[in-house]
Amino acid sequence: MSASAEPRRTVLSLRSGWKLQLFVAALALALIVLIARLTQIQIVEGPKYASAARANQIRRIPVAAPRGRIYDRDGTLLVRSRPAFVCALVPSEVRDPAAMMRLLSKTLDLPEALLWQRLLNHHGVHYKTFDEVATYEPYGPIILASELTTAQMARLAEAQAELTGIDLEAQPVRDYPYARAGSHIFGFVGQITEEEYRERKNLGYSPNDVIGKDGLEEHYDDLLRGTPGGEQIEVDSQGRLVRRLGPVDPIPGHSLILSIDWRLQQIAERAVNDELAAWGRVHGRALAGAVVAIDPHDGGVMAMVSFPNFNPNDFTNGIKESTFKRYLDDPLKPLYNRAIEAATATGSTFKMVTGSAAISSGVIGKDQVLYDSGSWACHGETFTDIAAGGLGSVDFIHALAASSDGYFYQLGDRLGHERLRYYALQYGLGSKLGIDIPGEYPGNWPTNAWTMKTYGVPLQPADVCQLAIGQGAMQATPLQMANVAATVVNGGTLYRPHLVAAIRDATGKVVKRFDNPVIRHVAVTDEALREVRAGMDRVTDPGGTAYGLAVPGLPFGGKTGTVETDGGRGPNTTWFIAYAPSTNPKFTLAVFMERTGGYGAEVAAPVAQRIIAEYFKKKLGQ
Amino acid sequence: MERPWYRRFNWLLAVSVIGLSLFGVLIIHSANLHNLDASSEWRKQLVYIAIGTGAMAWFASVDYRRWRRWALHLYIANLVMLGIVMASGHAALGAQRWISLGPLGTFQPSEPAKLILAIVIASLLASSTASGPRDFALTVLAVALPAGLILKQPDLGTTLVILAMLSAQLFFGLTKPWYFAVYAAGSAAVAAFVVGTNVILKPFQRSRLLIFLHPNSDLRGAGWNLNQSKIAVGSGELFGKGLNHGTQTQLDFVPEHSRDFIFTVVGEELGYLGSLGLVTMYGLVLFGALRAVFAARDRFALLLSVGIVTMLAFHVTVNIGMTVGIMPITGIPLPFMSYGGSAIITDFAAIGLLLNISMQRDKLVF
Repeated sequence: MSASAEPRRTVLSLRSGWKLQLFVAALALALIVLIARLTQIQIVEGPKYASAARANQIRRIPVAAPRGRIYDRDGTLLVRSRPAFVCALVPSEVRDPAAMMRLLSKTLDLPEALLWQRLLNHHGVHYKTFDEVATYEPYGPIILASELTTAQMARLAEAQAELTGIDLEAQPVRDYPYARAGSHIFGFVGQITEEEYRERKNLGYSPNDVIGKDGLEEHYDDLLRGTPGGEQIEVDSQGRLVRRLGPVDPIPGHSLILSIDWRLQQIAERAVNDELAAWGRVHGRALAGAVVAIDPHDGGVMAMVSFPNFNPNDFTNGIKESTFKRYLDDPLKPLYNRAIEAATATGSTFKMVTGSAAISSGVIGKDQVLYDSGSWACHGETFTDIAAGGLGSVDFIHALAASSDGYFYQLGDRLGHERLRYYALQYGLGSKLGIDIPGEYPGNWPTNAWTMKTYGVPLQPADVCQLAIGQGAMQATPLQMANVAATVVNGGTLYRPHLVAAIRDATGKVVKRFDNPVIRHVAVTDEALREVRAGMDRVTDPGGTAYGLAVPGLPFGGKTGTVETDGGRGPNTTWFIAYAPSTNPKFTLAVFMERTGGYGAEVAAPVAQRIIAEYFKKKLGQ
Repeated sequence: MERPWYRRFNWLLAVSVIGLSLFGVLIIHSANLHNLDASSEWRKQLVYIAIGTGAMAWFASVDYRRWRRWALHLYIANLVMLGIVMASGHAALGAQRWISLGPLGTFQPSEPAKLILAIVIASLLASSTASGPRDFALTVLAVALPAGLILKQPDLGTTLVILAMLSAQLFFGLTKPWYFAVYAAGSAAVAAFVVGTNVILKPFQRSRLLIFLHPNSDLRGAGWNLNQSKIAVGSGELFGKGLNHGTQTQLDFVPEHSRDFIFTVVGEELGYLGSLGLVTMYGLVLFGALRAVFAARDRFALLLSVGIVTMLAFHVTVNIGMTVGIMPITGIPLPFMSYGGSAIITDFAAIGLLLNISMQRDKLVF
């Protein structure tokens, strides 16, 4: 049957029918729908897609800004960033990783296994293969070797032609020229961890950042870090580099001007170190201690020493596992800042608080004479002086200079728990002072609730006599005690102790000055403080607990303290609180010698004596 | 009286497809600017266009009725080719679609299969003026076998093209509307089964098919292509980023941009105006092709031209539609634009057939 045999009519009727109209309409509709959709996507939503296309292609290789410097109050440079040369690898530009690593190992004279280890394990991420690195961090850069020697750099430059994808880069590296000195003030820096990055990514941090991990480096990280620069690059869908679009210069971080007096700091470091070493030889074990010096006029910390200490330079290029383990395994915990974290009972140094409280609240008069029998029956419990015998009838000043427990038990008894706690808290004990480095411990002032929770019994009425002489469950840090002394000296103003006095930007312009914040004016009378100072001024006099420790030509005030540990079975912790000179003091000192044995006058006071003598350039007659 | 051939010739159709294919070469060149492996594609495409134009001229000169007589032979040859693909075709992009022609490259039998099936369906439905249930059943069965082989490759897109042609040709060929209604209802049920279950389609095909309904899901996986494709087209805005300057194209964010996703290059680099221009060009091609439908002087010619027009329109709509997220991603080329010899030669041959049909309008019918 042939088509030509069909009647033409049939075809015509089909052609002119509704089917054909529907067919044409469907075709037209399809084209109209396409045009409508194109109008929507390209015209209405065009700008949205245009910015999505731009976001697709532009990436930034961050270039770290040099961290800001740290100076002492006189402009001594304490912490800086020095340029170091590193060998960095850009994964996407490497064609044959195995051959590259072989050649690099030869060029740098480093074991190939070490280079592979660094290539696959960095920034806290562990990859299995080079391809994974190239996929997730295509333009790195991944640091394979840092602190290159001149010889390594020369060989690397020679081999550069064969080493595509390997860059020789200058990178700022944190440098602490005084090494261990002041380590607890500065803290240290290190690679940001994954967790830290997650917390801070909204603050402009990137996964390759070096951040402050402790001390000022941590507390002021946002100011010290500066603004990272970067190289804008265009990448393709695989993240491969297509073209460099030009660099954005990093802005160096701000500099910190500290209230620290570096000369005082170094003197204190040596004094503590020598004393701990000497007593350590006596006991046959390593010892720990701390010193804090505060400017009583503004709360600026002038020195802060904690022993044992650490070398922050160990951390700058990623700390070696063995070194880190040594720090962690040391039973004296060198990373622990005793100046703000160690809290023990303060022993008799607390009598500064008890004494000024008793006079201010009127439970005793000025020049009050009390009978010191060497012990006191306090709410049915008899307490005996740690040192033998009583002084008999004694006035306030002599009782304080001689540190009469018998006298101060009575003050505690008269004050009672509530008033004593009020004054202790007024002086800043039992709470953080808010110093500008992390880790501060608030100490403790026992309350009824606290003793119930800790010992299962309520606070006993007799406990007040123990607390009044700085024994029992009270705890304070060296920082708190130095600050108590500063308050006593300056007439009752409790400053917030701080390390940073001013902040300067990279051009040297001061961007912020700290306004010496006052926590409170302690509710003590001038008369009470005068009495306390008069007692402390006599500490080196005959009858004072630190008799024989005077500095010729530089009178200073002080208060010894001795604390039993482990219920009297452990070696004593000893304290000495001082201010010097006694008139118009330049600084107050808290010397804290942890479980050294002996008494405050034997162990802690000589440290203060040496610091004062050396700082004021006086010779000790011996 | 018969007018000279050049007076009867459908110049609009012939010239517009040649123009379209040359424009395509320009776009392929831009698409592969940074792809060294494919840098010769535009030259090869020129060769395919030359061969295609020759095929178009030859098909235009051969009386279309001859194809009706050859329909059975073509059908068997087509099944054999698809069988060879099934048995020995080598894997390309995870699909068995190609037969190797040695130094001449590869050949994709599913492309001519579309044209051959258009001829086969037209001849089956044209053989009776009644086109009753028997013709209907025979036609569906005849199509089901090769369509099944193509689906198995798996080439879902081509299968859908064939089903679209079948539907349009049945629509015109079945004399009683309710026959077609039965067919439509049956197809809808089958489609629901296919799309709704993993029995026929592989899971990756289903997720690709349905991703356009949830454009923001799985942006790193199945949604990646669609998302990047939309970004490419959308970011072209009114004037485009300029030929050879599309970031999405040149930096490889859009996949397959000389082939299935070639429209994204036009959209991105030539913008809305370029896109409109291209859609208008396809409008002209379809208009020219419709002249053949109107010129058809017998049922075979009518049904064949309807099949071919449907094939072209379906390709254009689904291909462009998928790049802008209103059609599923089925992987069918854009006619006369996408790189690929089998497709371009088949398309030119199809236009040749239409040219012959529209040229015979004036011929006397005995």
